Amino acid sequence: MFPLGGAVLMSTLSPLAGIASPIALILAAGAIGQDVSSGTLQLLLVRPVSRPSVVVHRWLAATLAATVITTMTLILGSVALVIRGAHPDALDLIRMVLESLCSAAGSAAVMVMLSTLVGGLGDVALFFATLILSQMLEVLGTFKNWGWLVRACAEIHGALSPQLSWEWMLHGTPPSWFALVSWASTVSLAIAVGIARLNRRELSYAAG
Amino acid sequence: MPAIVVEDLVKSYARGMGGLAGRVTALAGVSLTFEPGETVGIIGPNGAGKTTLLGCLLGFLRPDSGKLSIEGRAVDDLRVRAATGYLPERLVLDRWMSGMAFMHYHHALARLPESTRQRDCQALLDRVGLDREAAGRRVGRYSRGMLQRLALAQALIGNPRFLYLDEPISGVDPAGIVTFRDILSGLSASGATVIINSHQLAEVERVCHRVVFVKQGKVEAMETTRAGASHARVLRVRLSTEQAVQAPERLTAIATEAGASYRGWSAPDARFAVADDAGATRLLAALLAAGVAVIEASPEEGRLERLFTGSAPGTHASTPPPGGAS
Repeated sequence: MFPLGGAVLMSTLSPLAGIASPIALILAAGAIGQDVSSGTLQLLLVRPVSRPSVVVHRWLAATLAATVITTMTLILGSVALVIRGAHPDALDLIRMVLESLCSAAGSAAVMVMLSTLVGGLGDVALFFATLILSQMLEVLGTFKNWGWLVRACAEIHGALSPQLSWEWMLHGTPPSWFALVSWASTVSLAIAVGIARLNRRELSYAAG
Repeated sequence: MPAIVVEDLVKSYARGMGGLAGRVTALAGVSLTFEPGETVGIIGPNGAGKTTLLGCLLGFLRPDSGKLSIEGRAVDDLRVRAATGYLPERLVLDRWMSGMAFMHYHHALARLPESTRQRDCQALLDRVGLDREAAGRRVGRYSRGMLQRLALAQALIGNPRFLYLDEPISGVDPAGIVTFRDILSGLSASGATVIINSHQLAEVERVCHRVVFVKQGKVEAMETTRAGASHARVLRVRLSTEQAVQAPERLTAIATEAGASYRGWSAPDARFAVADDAGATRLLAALLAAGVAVIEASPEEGRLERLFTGSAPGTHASTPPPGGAS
């Protein structure tokens, strides 16, 4: 609600641009790890359901839910702006929806992958630990003038929250294929690691 | 052809962080076969390896070595899973769902046709004794016994050929236990292989054809039970008051002549070991022919308890029962 209020006050949808990623992170948190810890996943995997499909479906569910929530918020924001006399650009709205979809898919993929590594909500701790550590190292790299470390930390940030810009739609320029491949490869890698990890993971039968 | 084959199964766990404290062996070369239509109880003390064995059979754990196959397929083959039912000991059902919604969810996961979903689920809930009011109630509001019934109903979805039940009657009322026995009897008749992990020995003895006693990661003993085929047992024979104190020599002689052995006096009964059902009949006939007034005779109960204390006679895995496990 806070970004929505900000958008109305500022008469622009910009404050809503970044909400998809945190929503996806919240929805995907513990997607696998919590089910392993509680024993729910064991009950699920007795059914004719493959482990890779569990990872992919959890990712898709978090992505779609985050995208729907973000899109609804954007539509609400647009309606509020219209009521206040502003006229948001339809193409810009479509761009924001597409960017939200990509952000949600990227963040959900990373969180689902982390969720296959640790039990319970350990993925949240792992995510923030990596984020904080990389930020600290980035500060150190900047202070020591170690360009390679700053660059590495920037890559880690990018990998933790893969995003894809659709700005080119507004300018009529061709899309950046590098950015597209970079985003797609990060998401694919996260899903692949998640699948590989869950395939190898032993599920404690008694304790969950 | 056996339904489930376990050959020389070895499984160990890393101890401590990253296995720095070495490994602990949970299964040390377990070999078993399970026949279609057979109900087998797995019993043993805590930490014996029962849970690990079930975990391997369900595909949750990967053995270090050995072979596991179900109808000749890998345990995690989706065709095997489609024919598998599982009732976990720890009931972690989705508490926000209604009982019926939970059944629908698992019916869908089992890839069964949507057209029969409501009918199938209702029939299973009726079968385990959960009425329509309970089916519409949230799982979070179920009692322990109701949860157990619901878990059993979901395990029966799709008429599984392989059913794994972990402490299936824990928290179930007497009526539920009777229902459980009826269901198991029906499953056995339909050719399903049922494996029960339970500490409720009396019930295991009652419903299982065979019992596997696991200790320190090994199959320590196997027993056929009353529900199983004719088998070796100890027979308790109650004699008339006048003859209550029989000369041991006389009873020994009669028993030896009938192909049995006299195991001593355990007031108010004499105990005899017989080879099978026919041996029990021969012994009783011999006792009557010798003029011994037999008031009643019954198989000795509590044999499974004695497995735990190590005093059960003739039960070692090296002498498997006819048609039983290797």
